[in-house]
Amino acid sequence: MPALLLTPLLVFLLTFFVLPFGVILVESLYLSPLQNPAGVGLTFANYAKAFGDAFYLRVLLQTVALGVAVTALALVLGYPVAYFLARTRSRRRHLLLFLVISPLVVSIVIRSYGWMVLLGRAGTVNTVLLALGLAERPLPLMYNWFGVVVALTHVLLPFMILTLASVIEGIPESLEDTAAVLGAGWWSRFRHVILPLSMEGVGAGVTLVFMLTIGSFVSILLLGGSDTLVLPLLIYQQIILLNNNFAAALGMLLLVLSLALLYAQARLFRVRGAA
Amino acid sequence: MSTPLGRSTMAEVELRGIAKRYGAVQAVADLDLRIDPGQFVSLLGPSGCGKTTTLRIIAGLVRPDAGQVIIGGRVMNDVPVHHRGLGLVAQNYALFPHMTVMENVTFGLRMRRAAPADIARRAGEALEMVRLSGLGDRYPRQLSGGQQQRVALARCLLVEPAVLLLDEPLGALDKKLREAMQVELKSLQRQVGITAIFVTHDQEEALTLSDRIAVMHQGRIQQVGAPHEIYETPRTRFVADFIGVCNFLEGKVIGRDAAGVTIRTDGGALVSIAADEARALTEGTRVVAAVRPEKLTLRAPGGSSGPGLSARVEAVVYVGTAVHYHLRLATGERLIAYRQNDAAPAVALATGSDVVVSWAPGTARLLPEESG
Amino acid sequence: MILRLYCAAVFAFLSLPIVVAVGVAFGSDKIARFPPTALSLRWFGVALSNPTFITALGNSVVLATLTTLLTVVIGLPAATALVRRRLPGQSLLETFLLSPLSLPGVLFGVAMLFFLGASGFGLTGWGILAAHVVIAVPYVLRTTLAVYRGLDRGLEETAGVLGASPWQTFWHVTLPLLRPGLVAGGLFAFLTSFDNVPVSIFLTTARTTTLPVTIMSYLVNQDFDPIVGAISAVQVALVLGLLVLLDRIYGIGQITSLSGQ
Repeated sequence: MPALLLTPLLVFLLTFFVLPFGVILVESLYLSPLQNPAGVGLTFANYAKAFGDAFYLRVLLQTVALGVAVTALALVLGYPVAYFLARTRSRRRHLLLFLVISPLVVSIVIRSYGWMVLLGRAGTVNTVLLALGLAERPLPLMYNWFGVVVALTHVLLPFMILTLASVIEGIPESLEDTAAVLGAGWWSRFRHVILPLSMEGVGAGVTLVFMLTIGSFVSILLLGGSDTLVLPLLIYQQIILLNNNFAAALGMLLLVLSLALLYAQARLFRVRGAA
Repeated sequence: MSTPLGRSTMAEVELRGIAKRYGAVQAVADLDLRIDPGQFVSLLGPSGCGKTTTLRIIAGLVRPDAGQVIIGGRVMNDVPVHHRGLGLVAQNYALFPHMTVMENVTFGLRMRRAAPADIARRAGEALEMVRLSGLGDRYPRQLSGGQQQRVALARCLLVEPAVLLLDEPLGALDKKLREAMQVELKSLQRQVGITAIFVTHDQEEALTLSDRIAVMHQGRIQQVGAPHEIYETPRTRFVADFIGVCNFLEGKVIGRDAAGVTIRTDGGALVSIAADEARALTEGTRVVAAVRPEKLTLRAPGGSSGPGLSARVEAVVYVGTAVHYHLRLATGERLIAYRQNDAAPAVALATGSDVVVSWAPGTARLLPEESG
Repeated sequence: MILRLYCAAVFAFLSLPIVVAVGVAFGSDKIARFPPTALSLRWFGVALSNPTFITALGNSVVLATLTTLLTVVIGLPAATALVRRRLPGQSLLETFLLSPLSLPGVLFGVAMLFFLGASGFGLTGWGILAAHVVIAVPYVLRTTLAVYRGLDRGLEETAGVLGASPWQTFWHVTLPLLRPGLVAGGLFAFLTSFDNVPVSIFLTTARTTTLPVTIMSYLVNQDFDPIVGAISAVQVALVLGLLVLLDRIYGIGQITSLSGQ
């Protein structure tokens, strides 16, 4: 009986989820007719190209570096907020949760648009800076790594905050109170009580945000420049250039990386309430 | 017997050779039990003894590994839960939170597609019977614990079950309410005349409510009988110990005669027990002599009147209706004696005084030694 | 306290781009400026008379609605199966079923693009619908599973003992109690479909374009007209309205145990 109930979903996912990835795998192992006049069959040439060329390796490196940077920022900026959220009393908490979650339901293009209006050459930030005399000419805040990092941190901060808050909530406040009575100031309490006990959440949050960052595409496309090339963007470009096979190989790379992180996340964070 | 709820619904229940294993644990082993129609029977035992599992097997919620469940003469093993025609009241009442009291109570009848006019009438009667008339439109969360329990009962009774199953239904109530509910439950059961199987770990509750008690331990029934039988003539050490308080003297049989058996306790005392059961007790068999505290008499040492054991009073506890004396025999064993507070002074013996302990013939029991 | 000020700053940061995007729509300037120098509703007028925008809005709403319906229809039985009995490899199965949530959208978009091409289905609205269902169904699964697992098993058992057949039990007892989870999941599914860009951008055509993809095309062409702000404002109003609805029915507090994944 359970088999029967699961069948529609399984069949659907098999057809429209697993199979498409299978197609990518297959595509990645062929060369396009243009590159392959000799008509060679299955080959790893695309992968060789991806790993062999310094350019592509650099893209890979940049992707990972971006992931690290955004994750670190999200962690440092988000942790205090997560703590505040976890410890706040009910009425205000509802509103704060709403504030944290609402950016997530607004489409990413709209959030990007907002950043573009803010960070553009004639945008709000520059206008303010110039008006206050803090800059002589408009700063390039967009179409570069700065814009990308700002936009991505904005997108991923709620994920980090929610993950951390959920874990910190589980640390009994009485532990902090006891530490305080024993003479620990806020930094000591953080370092010796909260931080160690929240490590599971930190691990989960970091894995999640890192995974989401390296898969990010829209924000970087819109707010990045010609030198802010990361793996997802590269894939998009290759599709536009009709290099489907190479794009497929790059896609497989991204897939493997994401699956590895997904596995790590599944192990790290035993979901509360479910399973 | 006809009731406002319709025709008489008594049925007998029989369990034959029921067994159930969960992984490495044998929850129920080779269980036989017969319950007559209209009887109130308790399954009594500590947690983990298999009483709830047994109840769930009767209900059809758990499939036994072996054995048969026979209700009203019909073998129920392959009958699905919803066709067994039973009633179940769980510890948390399991009232449907999204339905009103009336909708809860009429649930069974609605599922059977009874006529709406009929449903309304009988529901009204049922609510009256449990004294909840007028609360039909409330939701479970708006009711007190006692009220919720009565709704659960009414809901069961309306489907006129062959047997009413109760899984520690009074556990969540405070003491006073609990005792009140015990009385109500029993009178309701008598009134309707329904067969009831009641699971509990509270021996006082079992003694109060039951026509018969089945004492369970580690998946097996150790003894079945009327409350006074279980109390006065326990057949195993576990039963004697679980029900009320009991003194135990372990020892070896050293002699036998027409009157009874002589035992030398491990401490060296010599004790005579009237062995009323024809049991093959050879010399050297290890046994346990069991005697309840209220059966012990204490007298001052020296002088007359027959056999007794020397002891010293180690502690005196005054509990109002009685005085408890904690004694240590000269041979080292410990006993507790209760003396009714029916004479002045209440406390007749001081700590440290020497006494002689004895009991009337026939009030002590001989029990087999339990392994482990 | 410093912590409060800091948090206020972070919350402001989180709301900033959205406020800006919506604020631009109310400006009277020809270019996107925040804060606008003067207020006007004319850009809404421009947007509403733009045929691409109207088509895109219609497409997005229809697509999201169909996605929601399909995800509930497929997801509910699956959730039921997962809760009832411990299946072999259950946690692995659940991770698989929930994985579309975590894998990069761009990957899946490309995969579907190749697949629809190779399989002959072609780039149709149905293809986009299928893709949206794949990425949205985990939300329905997650919320339904969470609610279902929190239910008192005794309720279904008691219903059975009282004479309700398994189907009657499901219909009269289980389903009403699952409703909040289904609605919440459905709303998440709607939002996911309505907002989606990374997958949709590969699969939409001029005829089947969606609202976010339309905005995207403006931005990629470096067109920051306030019309984009107006379109954005409409979208933001809709999704925030749905979020409030979601909160009413399911309670935002519950979502933390879900979004934390």
